[in-house]
Amino acid sequence: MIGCPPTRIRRLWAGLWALLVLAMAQPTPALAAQPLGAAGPDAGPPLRGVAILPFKNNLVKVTDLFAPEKPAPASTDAEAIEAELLRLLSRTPMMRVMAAGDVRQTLADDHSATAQAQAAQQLYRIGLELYLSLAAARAVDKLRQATALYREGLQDLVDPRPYADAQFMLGVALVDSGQAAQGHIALKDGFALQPDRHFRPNFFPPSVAAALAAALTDHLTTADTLRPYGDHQRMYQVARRLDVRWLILGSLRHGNSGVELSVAVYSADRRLLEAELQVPLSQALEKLEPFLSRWLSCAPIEEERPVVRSRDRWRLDTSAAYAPFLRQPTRRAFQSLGFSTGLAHEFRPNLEWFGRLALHTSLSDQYRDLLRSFNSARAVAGVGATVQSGPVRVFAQLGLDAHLLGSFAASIDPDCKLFGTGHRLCDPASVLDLDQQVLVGVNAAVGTQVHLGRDFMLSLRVSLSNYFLPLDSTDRLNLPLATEFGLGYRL
Amino acid sequence: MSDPTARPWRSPRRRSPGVLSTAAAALALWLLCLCSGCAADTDFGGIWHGIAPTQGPANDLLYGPNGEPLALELVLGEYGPDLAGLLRFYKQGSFVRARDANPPDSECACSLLYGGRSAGGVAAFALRGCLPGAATKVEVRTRATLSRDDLGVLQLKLVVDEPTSAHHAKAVVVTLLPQASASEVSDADLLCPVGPTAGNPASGQ
Repeated sequence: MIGCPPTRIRRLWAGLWALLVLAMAQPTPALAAQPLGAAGPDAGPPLRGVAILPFKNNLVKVTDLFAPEKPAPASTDAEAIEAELLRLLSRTPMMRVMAAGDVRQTLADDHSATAQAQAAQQLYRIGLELYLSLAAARAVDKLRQATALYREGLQDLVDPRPYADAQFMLGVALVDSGQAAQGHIALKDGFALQPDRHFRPNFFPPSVAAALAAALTDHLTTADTLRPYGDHQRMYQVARRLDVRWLILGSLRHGNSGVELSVAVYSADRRLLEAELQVPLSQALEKLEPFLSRWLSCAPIEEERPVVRSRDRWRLDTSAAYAPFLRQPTRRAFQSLGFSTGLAHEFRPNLEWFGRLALHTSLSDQYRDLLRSFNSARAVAGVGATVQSGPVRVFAQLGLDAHLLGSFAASIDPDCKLFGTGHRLCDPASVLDLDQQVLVGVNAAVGTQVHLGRDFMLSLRVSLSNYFLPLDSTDRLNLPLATEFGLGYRL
Repeated sequence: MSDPTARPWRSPRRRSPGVLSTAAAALALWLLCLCSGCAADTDFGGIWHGIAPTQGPANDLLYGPNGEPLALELVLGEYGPDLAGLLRFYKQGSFVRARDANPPDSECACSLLYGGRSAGGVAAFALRGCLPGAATKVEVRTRATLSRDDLGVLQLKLVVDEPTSAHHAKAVVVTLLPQASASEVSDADLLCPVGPTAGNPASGQ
């Protein structure tokens, strides 16, 4: 017989209660799983989130690269375009617009990104010290780590200067160590971060100065003005971090017909540029509104519908069950197998009620102390707490269990087994007869459901019941531990 | 909740299982094999037949009224380390023809087993009552052991364990042959009327 010390049982129940309370205290997980920019179920109509990223100002000249006294190009044009975009988008119904300043602030408030920036700054200083100590190779290694951390933390959208410092230093170290091609790429990336960067004349050796000028020239002529902050994968990362569905990207540069404005709309849902505009700056203000109208008319509004949550839906499952009793009157464990079916309904976020029915057949043990196989029926009902993350749904349930035993009889007297319980040799005191008795107790369960697609799901549930009624029958037969595995369907 | 007027449970062997039971039992088979072992202890369970030797130096305990050989039927149920059952005696002639057609007399024809245990391929139990032959008209306690010889044949050894009796320490060894398996034992096989320990059932007197 498998026994459980009372203290262990109490701890088990205490643990299950704690799990249930913890699960109920979880925040609504569906919000995290919603599409970008979608609102929660209680926040009214869903808002379409769009963020305007700071425009890149490439209105610089190569001849000014080593003229630190020259003022940086005015950013008024770029700011005016950003303001106009903000004004136009804010008029759009059901649109949540994040201005460039809000973007910087949101990213700056991200503690993990701040920690990354601090770590990058340390690596940059170490790299700089190594470079000044003429250990260019080791400096390159540290500076690469620094730039990688800056990039991962999206620091070019918060404050590009420290990131650019590390990037330029990396390029200089590479050029200085004879890796001219890689150095050129690193320097060009530095100008992509901070196009208006100036350097003191005669500070760098001629080879490095030439490399800087070449990199700036290359950047001004070949930079992708529609993607000033990197490729689509990085833009998706930015959109996720800002919790928006679209990004407005823009930059200014000198073109054939004067200053040109480039504006693009990146869709995080589709992971591509949905709309592009390249016009002379002089026509920018009048072209922006038609451009945005065209884009918004084609924006996939139908995808703005809130995600159909699992609440207010019914879940049905049918499972095979294995449910041995942990406390048995027999010397060897007897096994119980059967089928169960359950119905659950989420009546509040993360809370559900449930009901289950099960039919079990218990088979005689090795010594046949269980005098015969018997069937039993169980009904369990209660409430549960649920947590869902993607296709996986985890639940903890607590309920009442009523267990109707079939013709249960057990004895360790061999005469009772061979001749029957009515025989004169059979000691009646040795027979535990729970024929047609109903055991009542509490049931606690944990489980998970994995959605397979459409509305089908795999279901696994492990439960334990502790019967306390009738008082004189539960001391020898108790604690059914059930494992149920089956297939479910969301109605 | 049980019906007090219902017939006491007799035997699980002839209950017809329901569809659910059958399906669940099939599903359980593999699991049972893992959990409790499929090989039940059936070394001794079932019905065994044997013939006691003719009265003589090898047998001064069990014999017919004229010293002729006596037939034995041992019905055993084996449940792990526990044994239960009965030992029935017959006149050899009628026993060979058909047991049911010529049932044994009610006196000294059947003894119930007590304290049956088995372990390591050896079983032991006790009998209390008369024994046809030397102890036909007296009640004696007899110890019995079951074991297999070198050829694997089951041997039943009966030894009178009654120090105050003149038959104390008398013994006989009977070779037993299997007649039916444990699952074939029926209610009729378990009937063992107990009457006064007088007369000689083997002789019918």
